[in-house]
Amino acid sequence: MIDRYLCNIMDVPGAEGLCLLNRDGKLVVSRMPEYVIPEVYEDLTRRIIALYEAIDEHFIPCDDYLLKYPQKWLFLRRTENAILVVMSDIKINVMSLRMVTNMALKSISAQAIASLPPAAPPVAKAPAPAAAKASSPVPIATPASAKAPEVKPAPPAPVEEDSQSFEVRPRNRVPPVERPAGSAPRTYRGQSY
Amino acid sequence: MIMEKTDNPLLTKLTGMPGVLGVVQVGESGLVKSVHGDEAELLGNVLVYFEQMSNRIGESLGMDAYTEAQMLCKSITVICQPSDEGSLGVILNNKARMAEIIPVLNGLKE
Repeated sequence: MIDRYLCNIMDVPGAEGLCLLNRDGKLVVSRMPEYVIPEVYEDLTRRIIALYEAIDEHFIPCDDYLLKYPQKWLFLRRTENAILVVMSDIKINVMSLRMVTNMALKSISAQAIASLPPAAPPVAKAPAPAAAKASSPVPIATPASAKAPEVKPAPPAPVEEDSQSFEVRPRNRVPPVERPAGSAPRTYRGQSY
Repeated sequence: MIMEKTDNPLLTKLTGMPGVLGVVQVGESGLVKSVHGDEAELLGNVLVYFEQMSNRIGESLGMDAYTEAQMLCKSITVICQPSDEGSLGVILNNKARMAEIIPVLNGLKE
C-alpha cells in the first residue's frame, strides 16, 4: 500500500528520490538515487530531526520545509506518523508535489509505518561484469546477419506485494524473454531479442 | 543592538508589501541587525541555526550552500535567504503574493 503512494510521488516530473523516516528518525523506506551512498543516511536523518526539534522548540511548530540548493531541492514533510523527504529537480512544480505528498502522507498510517522494519539503505550497484551484460533484458541492436550468443536469461526476481522490506528498484525493467535452448536468435527490424 | 529602522529602500519596500508580517536581517555571527514585526524578532533567534542546519542537510547529500529555505507553516510562510552580510528572513501570511515578494528579496540578497 505504501509502495503505491511512493510510486505516485516518484511519478511527479522532477522528483528524483525520496526517503521515509519514522518519527524517531529511523530510515524506513529509501528510494534515493544510487549516488546517495548508505553512509549518508545517518547524518542526514539526524540533522533533519534536529532541524524540526529546534524550530518547534524555539520558533513555531512547522511540519513542512522546502530547502533549495543550486543542484536540487529538498521537500521535507512531517505528519504525526512519519517524515517524508523528497529530493527533486529545481524545476519541479511544488504545488503538484505537495498535492501528491498530501495524499501519500494521509494514507501512511501509524500501523503501516510500525510494521515496516528499519530499512537497510540501498547499496550502490557495483559495475556490471561482462557476463552480466550479456544477460541484460534490454536488447542490443545487432545486424540481422550477426549471430547472437546463446545466453540463458536470468529469471525475474519474484516481487512480493506488501513486502516488508523495501529496496531500490529499477524502473521500467522489461522482463527477459525465455527462448528454447538451441533456438536461433529472433530478430525484428534488425534487432535480436 | 537591534535597529528597527532601516535605510535600505528595498527593505522598506518589503516591509510595506501586503502579506508581509515581519522582516529580520541577521549577521553571520547571529547578531540581529534589523527587525520589523514582533514575530520577526523570534525568527531572528533561530534564523542562523536554521540556515546552518539547511546547509548541513544539503551537505549530507553533496550539495552546495542553500539558496533559499522556506518554512511552510499552517498560517504563515517564512522565507530565508542568505545575503552578503548574513541572512534575511521574511514572515508572510497566506495572503502574501510570492511572485511579487521574491524579486524584492532577490534584490536584497545582491
